[in-house]
Amino acid sequence: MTRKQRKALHATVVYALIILLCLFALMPLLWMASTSFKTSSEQFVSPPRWIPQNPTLEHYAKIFFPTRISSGSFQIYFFNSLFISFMTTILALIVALPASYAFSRFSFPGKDAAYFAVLGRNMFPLIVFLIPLFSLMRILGWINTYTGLIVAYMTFTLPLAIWLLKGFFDGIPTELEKAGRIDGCTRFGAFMRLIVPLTASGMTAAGVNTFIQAWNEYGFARQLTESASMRTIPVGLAYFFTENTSDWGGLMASAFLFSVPVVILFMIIQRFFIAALTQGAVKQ
Amino acid sequence: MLKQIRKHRWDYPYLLPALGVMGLLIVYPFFYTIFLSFYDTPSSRPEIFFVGLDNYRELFNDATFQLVVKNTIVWSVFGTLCPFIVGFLAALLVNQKLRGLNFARGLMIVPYAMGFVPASHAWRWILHGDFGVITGTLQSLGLIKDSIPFLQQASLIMPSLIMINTWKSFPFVMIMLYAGLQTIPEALYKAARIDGASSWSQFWEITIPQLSNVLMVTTMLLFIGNMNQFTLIEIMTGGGPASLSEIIVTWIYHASFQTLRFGLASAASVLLFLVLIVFSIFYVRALTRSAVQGG
Repeated sequence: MTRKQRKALHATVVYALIILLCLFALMPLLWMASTSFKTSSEQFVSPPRWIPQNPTLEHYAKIFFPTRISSGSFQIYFFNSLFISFMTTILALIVALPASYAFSRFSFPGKDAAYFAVLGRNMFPLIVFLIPLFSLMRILGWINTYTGLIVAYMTFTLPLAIWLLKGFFDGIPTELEKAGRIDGCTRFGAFMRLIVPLTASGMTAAGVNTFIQAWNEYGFARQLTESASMRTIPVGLAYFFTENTSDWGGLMASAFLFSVPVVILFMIIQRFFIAALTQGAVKQ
Repeated sequence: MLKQIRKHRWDYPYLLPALGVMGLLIVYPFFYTIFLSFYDTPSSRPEIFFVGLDNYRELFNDATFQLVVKNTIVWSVFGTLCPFIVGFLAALLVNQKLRGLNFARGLMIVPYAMGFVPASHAWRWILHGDFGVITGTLQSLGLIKDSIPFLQQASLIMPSLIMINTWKSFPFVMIMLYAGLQTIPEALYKAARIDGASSWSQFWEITIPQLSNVLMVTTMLLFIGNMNQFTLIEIMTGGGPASLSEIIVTWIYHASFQTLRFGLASAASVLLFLVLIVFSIFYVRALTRSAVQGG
């Protein structure tokens, strides 16, 4: 084999494997989309068809224009998911912003222990926190309320937000605050007026990530809500099947609508997120 | 110490909101779980009763819990190994100097970007015994006659779940190892080629040692993430049938919110905490080692 032939063979093998991996990666999303456009009878035909023969929007029509809006409608779940994820994001950012700044800039006693405790949360399963949180929420009267779920979501969103934001603060030179202090700013003033505006991209990345986390959460939402009118989409999807037996088209349409915004959002912030994810583990 | 604290007293207000929230939602639940693990919590009565180590004793003697521990080990080990192999392969592939690989990398991240809930429902439908696309395709090709009950047949449940986890987690491995591969100086490979080293020995003598830290960190994160996996298993199988796919985390959930044995579930949580703390120490060690080497 000549050098050129060997190169061509190498490229062919690489591309073939990559195409296989891409198909593996995309298959569930594609099958989800395919099923969501099939009529209720076509979803059961054998051999399975990837391209629907009689594409239909009936499943989407049922989601967007239900015959009646009940407490168990996709609209209600969608609103709950959107509201809870949005409020979780705002609250997490407000609480995480000063904390991550302190972790990045100051050297007070107990800092390492506190930071370790924050990151340590990610090592434990959320479900284990659910038993004590459940009793705490009952004492506070927050079971089946937006407040309860939003506060409970701090358990996992706050550590990630602090970690991501600290990374951004670490990248901003300290000279800025020093200059601000010389110009007569208080330390908190320098933080608010000079540093916070510079972290817009960091806030966006941390915010979008928090939003996605809250949007996808299942266990807490399942256990801390009781009535159908409080369910988020992930919980609604789980109940969907008990209420609409073997309506795979409807389930796949709802799941597809639920996934697509998140996948797009993730693609937008992936650069920031991957940088943060790999920063500790990779030698620079 | 006190002097230091006084000197830095204006640092703490920045942390106050975060520490308040973390104390309420993380530190309190942590200690409450340990406390509750020594109590019996009958669902019929509001009181709880101190029972010492009874919950722990019951766990160690419970045949179902032994099965659950075994499942957890199988799930965590193979659920780490399989995505690791596929993800490493993907990282090596997208690291080649060929056109269009950035785009392919973007596509391969999709499983990681998708939520566990919709992904699990999609897989439930794909693996459906009678009407699933895998059964249907194999049948129409004449390769099989009967349907394949991926999520009902004892020998197929764990492999199916591990396959789904491979799909969901390999992009994470790819992202981490690709970032690691990018930092290996090209000069190392050049020198090895001049010395006549084969690609195989370049891989074992340059790539693997250079990646050692990121390999360790990735494996630990993946392993811990698998031990903590709840949503995927709960939606795919709910731990069933007959606890065949139940892992510790789903068992804790069912013991608390289905059978209402909060004390027993707390004891299992404490045991899980202990195991995870050991793994976390390994993880932190790997992280700090790479930070030190990075200067």
